[in-house]
Amino acid sequence: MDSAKQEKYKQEIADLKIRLEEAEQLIDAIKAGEVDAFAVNNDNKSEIFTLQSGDYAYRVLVENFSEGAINITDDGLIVYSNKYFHELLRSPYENTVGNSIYHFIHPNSINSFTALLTKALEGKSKGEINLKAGQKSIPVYVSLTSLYPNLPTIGIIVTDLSEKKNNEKILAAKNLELENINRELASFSYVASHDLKEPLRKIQAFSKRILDVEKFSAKTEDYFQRIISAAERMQNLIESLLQFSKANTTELTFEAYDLNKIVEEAKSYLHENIIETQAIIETEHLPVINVVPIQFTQFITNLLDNSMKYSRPQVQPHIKISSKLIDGKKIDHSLADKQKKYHQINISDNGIGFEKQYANKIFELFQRLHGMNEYSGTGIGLAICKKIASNHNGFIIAEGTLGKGSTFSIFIPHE
Amino acid sequence: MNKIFLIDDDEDDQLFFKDALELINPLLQCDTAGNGKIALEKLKNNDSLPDLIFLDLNMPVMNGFEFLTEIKNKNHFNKIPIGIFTTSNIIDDIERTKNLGAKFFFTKPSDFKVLCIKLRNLLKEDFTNEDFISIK
Repeated sequence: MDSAKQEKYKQEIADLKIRLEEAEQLIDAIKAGEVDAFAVNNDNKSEIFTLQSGDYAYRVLVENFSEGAINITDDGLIVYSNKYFHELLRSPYENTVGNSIYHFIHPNSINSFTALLTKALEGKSKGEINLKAGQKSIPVYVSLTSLYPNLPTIGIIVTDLSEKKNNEKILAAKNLELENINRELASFSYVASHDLKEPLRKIQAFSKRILDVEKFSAKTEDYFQRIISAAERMQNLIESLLQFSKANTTELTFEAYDLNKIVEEAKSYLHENIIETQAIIETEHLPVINVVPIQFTQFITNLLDNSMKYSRPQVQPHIKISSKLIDGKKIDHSLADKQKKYHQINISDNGIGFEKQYANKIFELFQRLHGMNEYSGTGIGLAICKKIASNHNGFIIAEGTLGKGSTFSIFIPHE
Repeated sequence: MNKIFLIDDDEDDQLFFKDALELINPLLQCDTAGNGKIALEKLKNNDSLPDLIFLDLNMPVMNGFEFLTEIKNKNHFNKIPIGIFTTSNIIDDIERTKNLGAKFFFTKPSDFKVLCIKLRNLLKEDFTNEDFISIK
């Protein structure tokens, strides 16, 4: 081999050694995680290779998820933005990275954001602010985290609240609509019941007057009595329906009220019935609890009225009202909250009772266990009681023994 | 007591009332008006004033509350004792009419015999004192 060729080969070997050294250095650097991309010069072209490693999964996640993710400096310069963020702000990538975050914050949120940023410098912060895209305000929830010492930036995750805010607006509007409808219904019910009762009053008044003024055969008198009874039944029905409507539409204002007073009020409403049936109503000393007084008085009145109505023939009605505090765990009812304590108020009587299988049925609207001729009643009273119990965040349970008596218990959560 | 004035838009109640008065004292005169406005007109145009006024609450054009308020300013008429004759038994109504100067609050009974008894007792009252009578 001549010396020129030898020189050429020596030079090639030296070049190759250098290239090999560089390659080995690169591989070491890659192994050590110091680089994740590199350029290779091929002829006159420069090719860039980025490394796919365990970080790949994070990259894909951040770039593709439906939340905004950005990195900013202490001064608010955006050094990184994922696709979602700049698309949310309708701003191209080039306009976003390298721009100040304040460019995208709505004037009304600048102070709040600055406060969040200051707090984040010590660790993290979260809050609601408004961003802006042109003239449009975008409500968002931001979560800021300082990435020191790994990176000299604050990372921010941005959640778009537009849909949530919109839903809240729709909900508020529907609530208002519902309140209006309720109010209309309440006034409609009042007027309807008032105007419906007036002709009934006349039917009764004039029928009775006819019987006063003229002497009729027993049969004709009987017919008139039936007219009068029918009118009375209808009056009671209208009255009950009005009460039921009130139980459903009245605004519930709770106050701490002495239940003993409520029982006294109920008894005064039922004064005539009590005298007529010679009923004895015994009340244990009852507590003061949070109730809607008008509704709770209706509740007690309905139950006392029932106890007197459904008394055993020739047996003086004896009604006992008592109360106790009980653990939710001990109550056998699907609505009983095991974590709560309840006030249990019992109204027990010695009346005709009922069969166990009907314990739930009796609370259904228009459900009765007896015919019109056996006992009067609209089938609405207990449905009203059930609604009132529910209005008080509680529930009612009925227990009865046919021929012996019944006990109705209301459970109201103890605050 | 010679003349009674009933202000009530309900013709059936007017009939009942007149029939009851007829039984209690056939010599009693009874004039009627269908609402507060007509009542004021009649009072102005009439030579003799009534001795007692029975006033319904729910009437068109001018209701009972409005009539009570109006008549306070009419010195010629505001000495005539006025009482309420209504289907209502609401405590708020009783209070309100009492404060507007009504002398009694009579809730209309549906039984004619009861109306006669209560009306007869009411007519025996002397309305010159300050007492307020509530009849249910």
